[in-house]
Amino acid sequence: MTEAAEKRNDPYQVGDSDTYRNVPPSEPDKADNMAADDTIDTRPPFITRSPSVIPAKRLQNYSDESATDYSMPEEEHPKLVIWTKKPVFRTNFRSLQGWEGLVKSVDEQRFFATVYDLTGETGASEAEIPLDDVQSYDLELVRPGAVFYWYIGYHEDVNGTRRRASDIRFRRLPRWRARDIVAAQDEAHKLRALLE
Amino acid sequence: MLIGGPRVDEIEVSVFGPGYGESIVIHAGLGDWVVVDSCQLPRDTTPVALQYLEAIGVNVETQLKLVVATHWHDDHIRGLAAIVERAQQARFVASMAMANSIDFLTAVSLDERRLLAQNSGVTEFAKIIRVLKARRQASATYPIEWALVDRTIWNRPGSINATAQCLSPSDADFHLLLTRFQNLMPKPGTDVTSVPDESPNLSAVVVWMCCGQQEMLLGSDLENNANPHRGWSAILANVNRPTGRASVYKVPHHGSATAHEPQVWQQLLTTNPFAAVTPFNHPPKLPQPAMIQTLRGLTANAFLTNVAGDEPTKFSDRTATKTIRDFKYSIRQPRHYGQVRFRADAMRPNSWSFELSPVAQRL
Repeated sequence: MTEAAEKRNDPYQVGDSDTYRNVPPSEPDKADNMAADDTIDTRPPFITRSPSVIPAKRLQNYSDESATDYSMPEEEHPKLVIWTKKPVFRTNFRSLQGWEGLVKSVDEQRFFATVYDLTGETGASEAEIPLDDVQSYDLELVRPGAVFYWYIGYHEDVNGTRRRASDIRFRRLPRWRARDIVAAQDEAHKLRALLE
Repeated sequence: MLIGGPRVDEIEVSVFGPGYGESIVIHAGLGDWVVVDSCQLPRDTTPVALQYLEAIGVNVETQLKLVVATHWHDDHIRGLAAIVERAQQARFVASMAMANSIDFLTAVSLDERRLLAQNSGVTEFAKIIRVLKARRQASATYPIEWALVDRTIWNRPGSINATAQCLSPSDADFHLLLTRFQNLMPKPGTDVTSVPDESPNLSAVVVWMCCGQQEMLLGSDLENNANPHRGWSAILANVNRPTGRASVYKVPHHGSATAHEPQVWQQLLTTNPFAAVTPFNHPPKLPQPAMIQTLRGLTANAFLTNVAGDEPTKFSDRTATKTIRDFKYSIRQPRHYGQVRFRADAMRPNSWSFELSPVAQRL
């Protein structure tokens, strides 16, 4: 993959900013299609999940600004990071693999989705993904028909520590507008006219 | 994929089912072929029906005579536009409700507006309409045959007479489907998600084929319903249905319990018919063990097209593969089409034989 192509596939190559749009830069036409009221998303960039570090769900709780009780079991202290002020995320995420996903079904612990390889290498696959790996603010979006983007890669923090990471973002799309539906109905009449 | 084409006087039914999707390829004798539904492996660019026909030396442009879309579910329609485009002389058959409903066609258009990397079955249907439009400009023939109960969609006289007749959708299912299409319509202000999957199974097109002395029942995804005017109950109650009994049965809806109607085995099929089941490896996985037992009890000649199941998707990047494994994500895809092939002499009853691809197995 060329460097330019690599950059296109990496939604986090845009720099250290902790503000970004919720549509990967590799899909400019989709971003262009967003409605004007689809505002810039200013949430923290992503959570990382590593089998040997802190479980994502717990890390998520610790990073919650509203949380006041940071106590935790003694044995976990060595892994604990307590932010004394609002953390500044300066992240560098290099994606190795990305997918566009379509949720098919959801149960209590996971969701099932068809994921389409954005590199085009492997086409569509079926994935089972734990709900623990979904950001809490995205959980309400996890339902059949929902669209998400999923990247696996490296996350490098300010200290240069690199670890493998997974990032799932649910697509917040413009809602159907009446004029979208009218336009689709016009198109439908044209399609039917092809058969008359 | 099995190799070697049939003799001119030999009838063939090849059922492909990789675990998601199915496609049935039929030799109706005299070199004429029929394709019912289409599927395509994720890494492939050509649907299995075209791959197979080309592999056995069939001229798709001239020898493929009939292409049927039983319904618009993704697993039955993927790659069908490519088949229709290649099959210049084939009639295309689809459920009558699809073209008569502006609501359905609006859903088709909305689906295309989602601008997703992966499109659904309704978008494939839009591609087919555009292919047919181009064909219509070059020919005076109306390009689509609309399927409804009792319609004969293909009739080829000759030394081996061949006909294809629709046993469904019933009039009641046709009417209800038109109503259900209204549910496909999103309301202004709702999220742009995929087109809701209003189940079209009760309006799926079941095809009865008769070629020479051989009869075949292709059950699509038709499910049963307590209402005698709907689903398999309507077929059994229909006095106009063919009077013969089929020796080959494509078991409906991946062998689900909801599609199983015992009376079909009693009234429409011969004793010990050759039956093919295409598995469905997405949740809920089909066929379920209880139905496998049931099918074993009904015939000694029931086959599953693919017992291998989906396999982990292989990525060229080793770190990505390792990360997926370490994080215990499951990302899988089918790798084999799986094929069950039945053949018989066109004019000799009880002459059916079977062949299985490596991943297919007797139930």
